[in-house]
Amino acid sequence: MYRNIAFILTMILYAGFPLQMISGYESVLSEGELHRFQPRPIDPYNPFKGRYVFLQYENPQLPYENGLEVFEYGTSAFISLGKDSTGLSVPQEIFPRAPENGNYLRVEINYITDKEVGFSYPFDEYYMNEEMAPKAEEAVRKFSEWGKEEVFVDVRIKEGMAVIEQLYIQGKPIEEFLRDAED
Amino acid sequence: MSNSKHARWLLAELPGLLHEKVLNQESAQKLEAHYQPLAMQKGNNPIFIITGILGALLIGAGIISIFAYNWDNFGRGLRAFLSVAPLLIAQGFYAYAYFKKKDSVAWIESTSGFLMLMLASSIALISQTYNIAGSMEEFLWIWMLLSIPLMYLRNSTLVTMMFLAGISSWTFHVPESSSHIVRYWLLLGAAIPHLWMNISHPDRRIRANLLGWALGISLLFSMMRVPEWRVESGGIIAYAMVFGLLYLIGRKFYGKEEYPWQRPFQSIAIIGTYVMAMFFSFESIDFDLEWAEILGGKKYASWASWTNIGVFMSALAGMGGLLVYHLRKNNWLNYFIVGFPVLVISYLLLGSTDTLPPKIFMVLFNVFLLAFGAYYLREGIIKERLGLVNAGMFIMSSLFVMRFFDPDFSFLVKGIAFLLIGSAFFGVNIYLMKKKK
Repeated sequence: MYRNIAFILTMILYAGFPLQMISGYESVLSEGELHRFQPRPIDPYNPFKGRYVFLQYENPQLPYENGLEVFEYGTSAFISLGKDSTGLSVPQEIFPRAPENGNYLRVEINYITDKEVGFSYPFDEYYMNEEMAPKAEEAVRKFSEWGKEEVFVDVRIKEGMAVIEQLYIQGKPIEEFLRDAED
Repeated sequence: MSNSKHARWLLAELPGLLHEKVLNQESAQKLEAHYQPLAMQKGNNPIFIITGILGALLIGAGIISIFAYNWDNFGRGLRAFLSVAPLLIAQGFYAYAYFKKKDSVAWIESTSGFLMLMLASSIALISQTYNIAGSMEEFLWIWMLLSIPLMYLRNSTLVTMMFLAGISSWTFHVPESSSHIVRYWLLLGAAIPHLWMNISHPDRRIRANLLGWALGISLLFSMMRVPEWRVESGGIIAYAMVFGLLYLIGRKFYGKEEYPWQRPFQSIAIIGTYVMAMFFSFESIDFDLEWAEILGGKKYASWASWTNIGVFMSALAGMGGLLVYHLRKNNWLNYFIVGFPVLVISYLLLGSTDTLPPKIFMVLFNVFLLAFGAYYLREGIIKERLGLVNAGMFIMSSLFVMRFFDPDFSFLVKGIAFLLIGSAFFGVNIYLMKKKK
């Protein structure tokens, strides 16, 4: 009898867990704050998830005194974001715990010194069709070179979670850009 | 509770029993009518189990690969739905097996394995649909946690084996020197009741064998990651303890098995001991045991170090208890294997102080290996078991080869040692030949 109860609870968990993941991400996309970032890319192969474009950002870091006593390498931290003169989002402040007020983003700590903390953004993968990914990667690389800087990624951020809304090249969504380039 | 194997055996016995007049015709026919349906049950035939499992795993892998192709022609909503659909289908199959086919090992194992794979697939696909770049570490952690109930609902060995492989794999994806790697013990702990129930069971020998090898091999890998190797002695002790403990547990649960491959814990313990001893026969220790770091951790937070120490203490207590158990029952034990952790720990403790010259330990390990090999040789000769003789010869000859090429010993020392040992071999040979006559 207890086993059957455990069975039912397990089946509910297995169905519920992915649905909860989906509803969480959908809520970020519909209610999250819009932020724009500028990446530089590469393209590796992730067997579990198909091809993706790997987006790299200019070494994000923030000043923090005595970071070694507060943060731990390999764990998460939280940052607040502001906008620069061109409308791109930039990190403003870093916290060891989620701040009480304002929107924030969870990031992964890369390095800690006693003057600053280096981190990486969680939105560094953009999934694409197997055939399109290498072309996408090449296009992104070409258009993110110095002087061109025509690649942007729009991200929705809500309560620490970030979901990529779209990757743009020359103002067009990347899928559209590649389709037009083929013609 | 009878199963089809027993039923088939009984049916096969009937003609003989009839012939011997143990049963009359009527009784024999009644028995046959009664047990025939059970004997026909295919679910526990190994061929069906294996093909069922393989089929499920291949289908699971195929689904994962096809979905990995990336359907960006579909909208996000459809992709999200398709991410969850295979999981729901897998749950349907599992529910069917759970209620309607609970006595069929083939059904239970294959639907359990399939469901476990579809769990992974749905999490991965949802992450892909929303461009969520989770780490392999996070993914494995969640997948393994979710899989725990599947080990127990219908006693799935396949799930447990995949779980053991998964948690070891997880340890390799945790960043170097991260304290939370010691959560591994929690994960391992989740599997222990399943392992205990099956390994100690007198009838489930195939499961016990598979699980034994799975646990042993997974421990071999995870001990490379969970102890803090920056404090080297921690890792060394971990392996020595694993071998000692596995051996003592193995003597209890696999003691009656005939072949080495049926005794996973003992086999791993013996091979592991040999490899470690060979390693130490080269090295002479000359470092300081920094107790502050051993207890408080170097890069690990102190709670992590203490967790590892706690596990070590429990393992030590376990070894003590098992030793007492075996001694009480007068069970034979291979004292080389049992004593090896003690040797290693004394080596680390004494070697770090300057009370004895470091070379003494190197010699000690060489003597250990020599005695170990000689022990097997002797046992093999007395019991006339070629396997033991070969084991002994292998240990001793590999030792000689290593020392021959070892630059730490002078030619003179090697020369004298080899002459003496060679003569001893000849002596034993001649003695045995005379005995045979």
